Amino acid sequence: MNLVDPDSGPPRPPSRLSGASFYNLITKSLAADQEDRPAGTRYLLAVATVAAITGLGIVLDLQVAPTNLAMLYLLAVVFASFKWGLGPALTSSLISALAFDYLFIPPYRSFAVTDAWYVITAATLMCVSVLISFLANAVREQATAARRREAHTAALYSLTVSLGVARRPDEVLKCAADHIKANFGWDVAFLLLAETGELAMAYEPPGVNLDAAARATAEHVFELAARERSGPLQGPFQLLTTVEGAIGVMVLLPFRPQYKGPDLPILQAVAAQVASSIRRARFEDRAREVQVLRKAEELQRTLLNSVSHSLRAPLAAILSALNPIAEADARPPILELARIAQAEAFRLDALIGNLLSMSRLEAMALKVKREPHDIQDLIGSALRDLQNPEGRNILVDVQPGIPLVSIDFLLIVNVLVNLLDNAIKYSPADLPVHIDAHLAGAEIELRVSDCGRGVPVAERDLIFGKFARGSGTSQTPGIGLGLPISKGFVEAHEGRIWVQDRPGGGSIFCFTLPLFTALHDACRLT
Amino acid sequence: MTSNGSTILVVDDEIGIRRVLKVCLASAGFVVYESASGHEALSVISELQPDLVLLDLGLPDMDGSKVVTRVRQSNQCPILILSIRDQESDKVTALDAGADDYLIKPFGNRELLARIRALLRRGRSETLTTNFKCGAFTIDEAHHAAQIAGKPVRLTRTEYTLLKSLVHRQGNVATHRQLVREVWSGMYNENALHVLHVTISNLRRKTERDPLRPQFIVTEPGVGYRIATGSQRLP
Repeated sequence: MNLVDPDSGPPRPPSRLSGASFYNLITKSLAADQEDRPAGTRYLLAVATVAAITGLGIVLDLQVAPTNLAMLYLLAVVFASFKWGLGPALTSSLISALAFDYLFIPPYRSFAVTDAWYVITAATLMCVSVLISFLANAVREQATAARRREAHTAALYSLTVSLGVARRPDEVLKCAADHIKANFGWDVAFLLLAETGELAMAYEPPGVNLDAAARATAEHVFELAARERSGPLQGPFQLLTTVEGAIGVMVLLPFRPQYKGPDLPILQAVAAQVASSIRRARFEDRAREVQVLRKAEELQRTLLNSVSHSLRAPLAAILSALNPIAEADARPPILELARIAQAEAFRLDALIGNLLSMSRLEAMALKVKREPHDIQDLIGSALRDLQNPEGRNILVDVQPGIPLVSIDFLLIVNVLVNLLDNAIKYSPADLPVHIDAHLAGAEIELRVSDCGRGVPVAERDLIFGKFARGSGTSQTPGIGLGLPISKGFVEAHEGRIWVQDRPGGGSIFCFTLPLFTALHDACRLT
Repeated sequence: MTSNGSTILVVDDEIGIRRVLKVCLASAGFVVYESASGHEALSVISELQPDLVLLDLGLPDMDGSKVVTRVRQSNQCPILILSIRDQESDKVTALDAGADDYLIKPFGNRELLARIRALLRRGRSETLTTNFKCGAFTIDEAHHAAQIAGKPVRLTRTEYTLLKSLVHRQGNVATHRQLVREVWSGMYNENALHVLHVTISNLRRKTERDPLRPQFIVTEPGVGYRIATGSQRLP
């Protein structure tokens, strides 16, 4: 918006002074006194004016016709009615009529009138004076109203400007309250709808308290609005409404049952301004929070990656250095020791891997890249990755013609390896471990069963928790992250994981995977 | 096996890995250069023209796949990617950018040397032949026929083309995207991937004794497939 200061342009030639601005000039200069002077002074001035006209008449002593003198009296009345208001104008009308009659109409110094024409003159003077008084008063009141409207519009405009600068919702309220105080002379309190669904005090002007009655009324007004029944909206209670509905109430203080404040349309406009500013500030707040959150997540991810790198890089060097020794035809004690070191370093590497997976899950930083995959391929890869030093017999049973699954291959291989690892650890070495996969409704169910001791019912949920280990597992190495990680990975695929009894002893760990539904997005590039 | 003094550039910011690699490769008869950063590697490659580059994906100054792209603008020397687990998508990007194979850290000495020799061999043998051998497979391009361990197998046209693509790589990994492009010459998307997996599954059913424990066509999780040449870790 481009605001042009009217004073900054070239001065206008006087001939272009329009009728309207001339009128403004007149009314302004005439009405200036009205609010400034006490009533007594105004009456006195009105009477003095009439006295001055009368004095002039006596001095001229009938050099002019009495009718012309009546014109001068009329001028005095017009002047008084513009300058000092209705009361003084009516007073001057009366005095003028009386003075005119008494002094300038024969017989002089008497209220009696001999010439019938002068009765008309005096009466007309009286009537016209009173009429002018009323008319002038109406004009003055209109001008005053226009000025007030103009002031309110200006106030509303500057409210908009200053609210635009306020960033947070509480700043918006403070700014609005200060503004209303400065421009309308009222204190305001704001009650806003809290997340609990109740109206809570959001801003209370310093030194002014919202009493219980006002608060109750505010809540009532809000409740009526919330139920979409237009309640008797009283002046001092203005609903703050946005496109999403009512968000609070603005209360003018001090609270009086009889409202005598700014015009209602102005108040409503102010309330609408405040409401939309709060809405905007809340959006800004939320955007800021999201940004902060994103920064935090980014930091966490960077941290995870750098930890991953700094821990795993030296370990990779250790293992790469150990591998040639463990592979070579070294002397038996050295070979043995190298293999122990190698196995332990592998374990440490797996442990760091597990801790990282867990922190990724907890930081919601897990990226799941789902693609169609073959279950057989999945099981084959898990069997290849599995550390199965004793060569435990693993039996696999895959339903023929099983459809593809939509999974992040590496995550699910990890799940399967974890479950197989547990099954091998916690079941007798001479009994086999089973994997089977079959279609179960709109999902694929994979099951890893062992012939171990099974999981007691009471522990079945617990073992999927972090660092939880089943009873009687203290002899077996592990830190209890395999199952929670598996649970996290499976749930990241909208699958379920659980454990149940195996008929004939042992446990079955089951999980479900989503099917790949082909061709629904055949043209999508990945 | 001799290495004829072939030159290898090791690019890794971890001094530990560089030292291990230097010991292993030097004792196998290779001449080893080292770089700790991508920019350094690029200038060494253009100056010294190594026979092979071992490239770590976690370089501090440059994305691994960017290094590969820059090298490929002027040089066709084999590039073997070194990476840790969890970097599958980076690996795939680097392979699709023109790297020849990858190895997961920590690696075994034998596997490392086998990969390097396979890459160097492939670079040399550009003889005009229509018979290709890789692992247990032989394919006869003149007759569009394939053999496994000397016995002929009946393959569909697609299965044959897929096998040919794998055999041509001489035991190096082929990414999903590369296979889809070479066999179906189509767009790489979920449905293409679906067809690829189904074809691999069929191929395995015809060639493997136990398709669940494949001995010949090995899955590289999250990356692609390769033909086993006897040097890989097998179940």
